[in-house]
Amino acid sequence: MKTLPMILALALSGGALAAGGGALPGLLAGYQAAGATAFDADRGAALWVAAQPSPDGGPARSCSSCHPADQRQAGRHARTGEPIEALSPAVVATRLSDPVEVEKWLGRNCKWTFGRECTPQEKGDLLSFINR
Amino acid sequence: MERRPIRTWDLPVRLLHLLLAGGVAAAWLSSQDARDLRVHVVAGLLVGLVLVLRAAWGLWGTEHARWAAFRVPWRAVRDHARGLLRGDAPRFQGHNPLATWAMLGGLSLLALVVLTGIGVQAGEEGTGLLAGRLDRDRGVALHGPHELLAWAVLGWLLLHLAGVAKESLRTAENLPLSMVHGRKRPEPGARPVPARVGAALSMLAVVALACAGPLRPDAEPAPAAVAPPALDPLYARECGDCHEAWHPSLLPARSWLLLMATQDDHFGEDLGLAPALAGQLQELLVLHAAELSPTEAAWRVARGTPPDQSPLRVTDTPAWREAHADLPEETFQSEPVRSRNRCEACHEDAATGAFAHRGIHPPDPGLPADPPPPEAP
Ligand code: HEC
Ligand code: HEC
Ligand code: HEC
Repeated sequence: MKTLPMILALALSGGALAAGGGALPGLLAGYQAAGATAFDADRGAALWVAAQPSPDGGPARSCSSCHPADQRQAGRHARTGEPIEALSPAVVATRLSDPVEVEKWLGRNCKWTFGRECTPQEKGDLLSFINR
Repeated sequence: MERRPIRTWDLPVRLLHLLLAGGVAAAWLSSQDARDLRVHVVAGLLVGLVLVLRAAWGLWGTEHARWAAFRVPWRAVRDHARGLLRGDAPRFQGHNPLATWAMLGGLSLLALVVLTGIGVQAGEEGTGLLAGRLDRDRGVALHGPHELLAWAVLGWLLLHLAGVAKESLRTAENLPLSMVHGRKRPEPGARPVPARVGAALSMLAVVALACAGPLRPDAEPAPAAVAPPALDPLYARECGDCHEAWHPSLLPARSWLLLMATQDDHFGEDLGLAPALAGQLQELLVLHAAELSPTEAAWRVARGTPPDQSPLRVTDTPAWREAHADLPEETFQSEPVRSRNRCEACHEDAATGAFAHRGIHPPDPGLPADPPPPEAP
């Protein structure tokens, strides 16, 4: 009689694990098909905090302007102050689960931070770091 | 000759006088801050109810309370005024002729204040006795007259107090006190009036019932005319990640069209929304834009923004500037707010677009950002 709840709990946690970061394999495969080589979470971590001069003379920009250097911590939008939940799928189960959502935000955030699109290699490195 | 004071004002007259004074004072005190609007409306309606009861008592009341006693010709008023100047005006058991006219003037002024107030409430808030029955622009147009009449009441009140003081001195009698205990020195031949306790208790019951029912301060009806429709969650999801999802009713449709047309340079961000999604969002925004929304806030935005302007910021609309003109800059800079466009920090109902008076809770700029930790015992 105790087995049913256990099976349910296992199924639920298994589902959550599959959802968190679920979009990653497909995305990484896509980046490799677009020319990227092996991904390196350390390279991603370095890029994550690399400061870029701001085009409008404001404070230097990096991914950690809005998301903290530690991807497991919650952040705050640098311009509006809006709270942002942690990006790590281990902390927030819905992260990196929807490829369209991830691509949308990478598009926006790379443009604002670096002033250009990220290359497939950079995207793969950054996502590997976020998933670490 | 009997000189012992006799009852001149019956109990209902004194009770209604007290309620009227209280209602007018409450209405005045609650007229400055929009957040007290509910109290203001209740006080105003209470004044209205007292006026109705007083009018009825003019038909059935005792000698000096009756409308019959108020039928005083202009000639009598003029003669009394001349007498006052000469110093030989007679004394009266009830109101003197001048006071009678002053009473009629004051009661009429108050009635007008109440009526215009109900009109303003219907126009601006869409609530109250005339809700939905009065054109919005007409109701709002009554705001000026309502205030003017209220000032006239204040002026009248000063004259009333001066008159009472003068008459008290002239006749060597404490008239304010006589409006409490009801007794005045008798004129020759004057007879005491009955107290009419039963009528007074009935009136008190009517007022109490009204206060417990329709006038209860927290019984704010939310007619469909002021309740904004619930928003599609798609909007909150797509436009609520970088900042709060400002309600579409806060900008005119042309502003939203311009904002969506420039989504690749959205205050320095490239939103990069797929065309289909952008189209869907634009439709939502335009559907609930200021011109098409029933709230007072939306109506002010739609009316106050010149047709040749398409402000991209809610905080750039004349309606927003006007509503917040009295707030010091520190209130916006203080920690939990930090920016004027963080409506949610001060308006608990910002997400619904309602922006009701009751939902305004600006943080106190004098307070530290984080409350100090409780002292160890
Ligand atoms: C100007 C502020 C800002 C900067 C800088 C920023 N981001 Fe973000 N990012 C956001 C916001 C806002 C969201 C959406 C928040 C949410 O979904 O709760 C987001 C979401 C994301 C997501 C989506 C995660 C998911 O699956 O929900 C990823 C991935 C991401 N950011 C990566 C980055 C990277 C990589 C950088 C540096 C190139 C970066 N961000 C820089 C504000 C920023
Ligand atoms: C990538 C982040 C981001 C997203 C997504 C976003 N905005 Fe903005 N928006 C901003 C920034 C940054 C500002 C400027 C804030 C400031 O100056 O305080 C802004 C400002 C605004 C303003 C002006 C606010 C004011 O009154 O000061 C409006 C209106 C607005 N956005 C509407 C929208 C709508 C509608 C959407 C969805 C289609 C949207 N935003 C999505 C980043 C974003
Ligand atoms: C610092 C706190 C604060 C912020 C932030 C703020 N408001 Fe207000 N707002 C107030 C206060 C206080 C009043 C009442 C002012 C008064 O009556 O003198 C008010 C009044 C209003 C009113 C009129 C309400 C009425 O009927 O009197 C509207 C509409 C409104 N605000 C909308 C907004 C919107 C939209 C935003 C965000 C763009 C916003 N407010 C941001 C404090 C704030």
